[in-house]
Amino acid sequence: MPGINEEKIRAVVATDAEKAFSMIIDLYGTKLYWHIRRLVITHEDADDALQNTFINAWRNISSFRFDSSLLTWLWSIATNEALTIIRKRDRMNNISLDDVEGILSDSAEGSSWFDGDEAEVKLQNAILRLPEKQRIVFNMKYFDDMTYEDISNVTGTSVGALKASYHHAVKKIEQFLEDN
Amino acid sequence: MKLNDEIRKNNPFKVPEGYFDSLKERTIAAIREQESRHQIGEPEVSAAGTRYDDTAEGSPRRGARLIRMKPFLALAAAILGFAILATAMARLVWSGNKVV
Repeated sequence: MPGINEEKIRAVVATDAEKAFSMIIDLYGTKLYWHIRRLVITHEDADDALQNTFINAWRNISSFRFDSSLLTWLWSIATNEALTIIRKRDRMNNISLDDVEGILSDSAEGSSWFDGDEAEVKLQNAILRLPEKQRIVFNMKYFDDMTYEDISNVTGTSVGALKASYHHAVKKIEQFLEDN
Repeated sequence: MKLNDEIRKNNPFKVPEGYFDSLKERTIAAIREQESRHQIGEPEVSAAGTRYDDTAEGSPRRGARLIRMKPFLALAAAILGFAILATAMARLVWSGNKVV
């Protein structure tokens, strides 16, 4: 739906929460999915986390004061939902899965919804090996193109720390790609 | 090897056909289902169809359950305390009556 932005959503939410929420899904649904997907890897887990994100957001939309942006609010919910799924998966496996093949082979969907060449698999593996928070920061900066200010609002980390975190993440990934 | 835009453009993740087209419809349906469960007092389920982990840290359900159990726990503790006291008293009296 063209022309949707947060101001329009804000104008509608008080009088028609359902319509406002519909606009939110249109505006951020796809981007939220990809943000989650890059964290959880499998489509099934991403779909679950996305639905949980929207259910959670719906419950709280009426009390959202717009003192922060909808984007950072939704990204925060989505990131937490993704981490919940990852941690549950790691508990079930008694180990933190840090390679794409391992995660996919462990899932019901297998590699049905993953079609990466060797280089892309290596990149995903490099990202999976980052510490959790660094991985989140890297994904939001590199793939989601978010500003450090927005990432700061999502993670609660200072901009300075985020810049350092992103710099280290890039170095680690580049080193991994070189070594492998 | 340096990270660059070329790598960024390649997305190895795929989605089922029509997934995004039906996203809004499925999301609203999921929300409505959760709302109806909430209204009739049924336990909430995650979108995965499995129950939320009630014992998960920070779960509001966990705190509520403990609060409901408090009176019963207090009663059980009182009964246990009384039993211990009664046993101790009985032993004291018994040992006091023993012929040495």
